[in-house]
Amino acid sequence: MTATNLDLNIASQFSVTPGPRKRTEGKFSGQEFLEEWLRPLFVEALKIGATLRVNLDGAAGYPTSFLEEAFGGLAREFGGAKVRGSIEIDCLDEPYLEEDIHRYIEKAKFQS
Amino acid sequence: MKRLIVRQKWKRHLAARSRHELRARSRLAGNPVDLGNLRATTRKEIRLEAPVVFSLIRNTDETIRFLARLRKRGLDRSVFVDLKNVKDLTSDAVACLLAIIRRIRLPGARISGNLPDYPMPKAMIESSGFHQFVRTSRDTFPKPVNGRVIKRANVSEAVEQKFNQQVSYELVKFAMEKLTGVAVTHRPSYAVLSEAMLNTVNHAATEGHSPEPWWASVYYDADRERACFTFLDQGVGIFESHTLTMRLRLMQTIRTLSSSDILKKILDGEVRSSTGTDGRGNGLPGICTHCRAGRIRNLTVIANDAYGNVETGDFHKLSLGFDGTLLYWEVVRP
Repeated sequence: MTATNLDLNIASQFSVTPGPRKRTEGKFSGQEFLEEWLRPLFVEALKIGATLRVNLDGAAGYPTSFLEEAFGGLAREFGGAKVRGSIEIDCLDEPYLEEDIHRYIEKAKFQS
Repeated sequence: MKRLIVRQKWKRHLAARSRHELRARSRLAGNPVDLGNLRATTRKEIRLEAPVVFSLIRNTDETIRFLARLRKRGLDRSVFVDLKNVKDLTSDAVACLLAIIRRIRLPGARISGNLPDYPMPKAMIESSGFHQFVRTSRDTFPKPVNGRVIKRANVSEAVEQKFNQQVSYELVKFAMEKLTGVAVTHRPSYAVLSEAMLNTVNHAATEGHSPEPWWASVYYDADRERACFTFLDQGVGIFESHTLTMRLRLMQTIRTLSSSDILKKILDGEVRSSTGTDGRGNGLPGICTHCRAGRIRNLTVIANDAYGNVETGDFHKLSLGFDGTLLYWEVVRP
């Protein structure tokens, strides 16, 4: 972690087996990841003017619902432009996931 | 009480009580009933011959017709499933046959059967994990070497409406171990399995009922060097999902779309989610994208009376409806 970057590795810090969309549907959900990891670190990154680098490598895979709830959910709360400006996605295992996440952020409707 | 109903002990208790009451009633009426004969008349065995090409993905209509007959007849008779002449078998049909047998056995159907004479389909059944679920004396069959079948329907999961992604992970690792020799993950398959389970938990049951049990299987086809995945539920199917029905019916009426056209639209992401919530409806289009990008192969979706193969672009209406939803895909050796 540097002054300009915050790092979040989903597989090592949250779970190797990301799960469903909502907490009620099962363990390691997108909602749980958003509320306990992504949002707090994103808010901190905004506060100190840093970039939050989210690394997706090392996990078993990512259900669409998980990614949409986490990143789409963040965009619904803070707005797509703000999220795009402060988050970087790294995924060497499956590079297409980066594009998918940007699409979810793009499509999410900002709920002020 | 719900838990007791599904237990063998409870079923035996009910059967014994029923026999006892019947005897007592007939004794009172001065007309003793021979229960042995009664069983024989209500449980005549019929023989159902499976199609020579027993495959939902290759011989869809005939295989669905056979499975529908099994499902229907098994409820009121003993059935002998005759697989003797099956020449060509695919793992989706094995999973579906297993799911139906288990389903109709629950209310008391008696199912027996034989193995195919042809070596390849016979070997597939023996090594797929089929006998782990239907054989009473499991020890007589070796541990399945090429396949894994998982059924998810236990009471606590049904009540809690939860799913366990470890199941996806185990199946995917098994497939990759067979394909590559190393038990690593295959992320697209993990994602597809997880999405399919979630769809079943959230949409497959009829309103007010507990979630539909689902079946997931993987079979390693050594000749083709492919891992064949099947995910199956016997729920209401995509087109009977209650919140979708109004919209889809309207589309069918106005634009004269067939169910296979609508299936294609759903897979292409052109039909909004049944929940109507922002950010939803990415599951099936996401699965489809994996196939179009070549990350999974031969993706086939069968739901109600619609058939769609994403890789070949073959979408058509079936002559007979399929009870539930089936997803089939393959992973090629890297």
